[in-house]
Amino acid sequence: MSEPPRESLLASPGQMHGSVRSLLEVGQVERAKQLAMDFIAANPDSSAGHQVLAEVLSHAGHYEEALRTLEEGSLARAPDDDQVHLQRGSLLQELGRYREAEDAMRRAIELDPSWGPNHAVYAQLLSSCDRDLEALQRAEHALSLAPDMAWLHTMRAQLLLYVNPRHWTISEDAVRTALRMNPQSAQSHSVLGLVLLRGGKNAEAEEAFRAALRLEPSDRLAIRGLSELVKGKSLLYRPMLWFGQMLSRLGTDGQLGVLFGLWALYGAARALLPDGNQSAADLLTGTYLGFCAYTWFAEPITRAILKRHYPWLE
Amino acid sequence: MRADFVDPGPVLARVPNARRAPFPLMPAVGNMYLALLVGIVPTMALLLVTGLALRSTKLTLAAVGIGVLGFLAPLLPIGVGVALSDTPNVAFILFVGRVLSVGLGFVAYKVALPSIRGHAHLEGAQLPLLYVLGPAFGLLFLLPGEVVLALVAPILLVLGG
Repeated sequence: MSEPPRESLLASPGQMHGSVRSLLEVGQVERAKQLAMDFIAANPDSSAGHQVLAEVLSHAGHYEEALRTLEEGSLARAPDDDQVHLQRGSLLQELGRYREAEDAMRRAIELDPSWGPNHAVYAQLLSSCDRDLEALQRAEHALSLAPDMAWLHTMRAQLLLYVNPRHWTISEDAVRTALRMNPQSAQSHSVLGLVLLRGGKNAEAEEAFRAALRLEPSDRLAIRGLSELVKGKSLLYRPMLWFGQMLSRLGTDGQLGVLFGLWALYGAARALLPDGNQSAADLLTGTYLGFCAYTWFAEPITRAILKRHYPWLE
Repeated sequence: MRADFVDPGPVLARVPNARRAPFPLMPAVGNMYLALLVGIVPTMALLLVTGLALRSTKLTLAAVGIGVLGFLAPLLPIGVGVALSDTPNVAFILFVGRVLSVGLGFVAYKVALPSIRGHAHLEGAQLPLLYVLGPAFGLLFLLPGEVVLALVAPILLVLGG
């Protein structure tokens, strides 16, 4: 398809935005930036040019500059545009200014509460700050407003898995919905693999991870999941996989509880041993140290051994 | 709008802004493991350095506060041990001391988590947990018992124990 004439690009924000996105997709950042700046020069009172320029700068990783452009160019001209506030929130999130990002996103929602993507982006922010339950509720609300966001179904599946891992079948439904909408999403295939792994459907999980790697050979989630499955096939690593899955089902607090509880058991057993029973004390210490070594050191050692057979393992 | 959705209001008011430290940091959960291995006071000394590197007043003050609590914590089992018997059980005192250390390590983990996550968000480097726990684990078994005791319960040095 040929590029639209430059005059029409500079007259229509929609066309200019489309062209800029196409340029960014093929790595032509400087040309995209020039086009946005030309648009601003031709339409000095429009906020759209500054918004697109901020997008280009953000794409190049210049978040501070992008935020300045957006605040001075777009926000000053369109203070009641929810999309400007949403974009500002995303930039603040990139800069790690979470509270301000939340304020900006909530302002966007206040300006247009019925626009699903406003809630979806806010859900992403909440998720990145480990507020999984709030993120899940917000994501579900966003989906009730705009059910066609495939990536949000995937995010919901992942959040459901964190919040309520026992109900993994609901996660499976969510991620399969995402895959029906976009079968080419490596992320969705990886999340499906993760969900199936949690459900003990190892063969299907392996297929999902492999599908993800076919679409995106460097997909970290899929590589991690597949390595877990490979370990599970070896007699040597099976107990480790069982232990890892058990800990993963318990969640972070539960994992800490297990380690702490075993330490408490060890300490109590040592304290209760009669004086002079050195061999029993040594046995207890040996068992406990073995457990610690298993927990802390078995993973890198087994990974190193496995890498000799499976070089693709990370 | 979905009828059952209730907006809980802003929830990130207490999340600190992300800052990047100039050197790799230990994962937040390491605070709990280290507290278990070498005691809460050395762990909080490390967290103090982390707090300063991240220019976080809250984290720095928390490290000092938890460190002071951890320094004083062995007084509790010592007091209980002395009250229960004329010859207190050292193993009991050490055990309760370690339990308190791990409890305080858990508090430190919760306090440090948002700041360490912010460091990671800004692509700050993180040390693998193994690099921290491996040497700590080794030290625990290589150092003489007296030194380990001094790390776990440094107040004993002050008390002349």
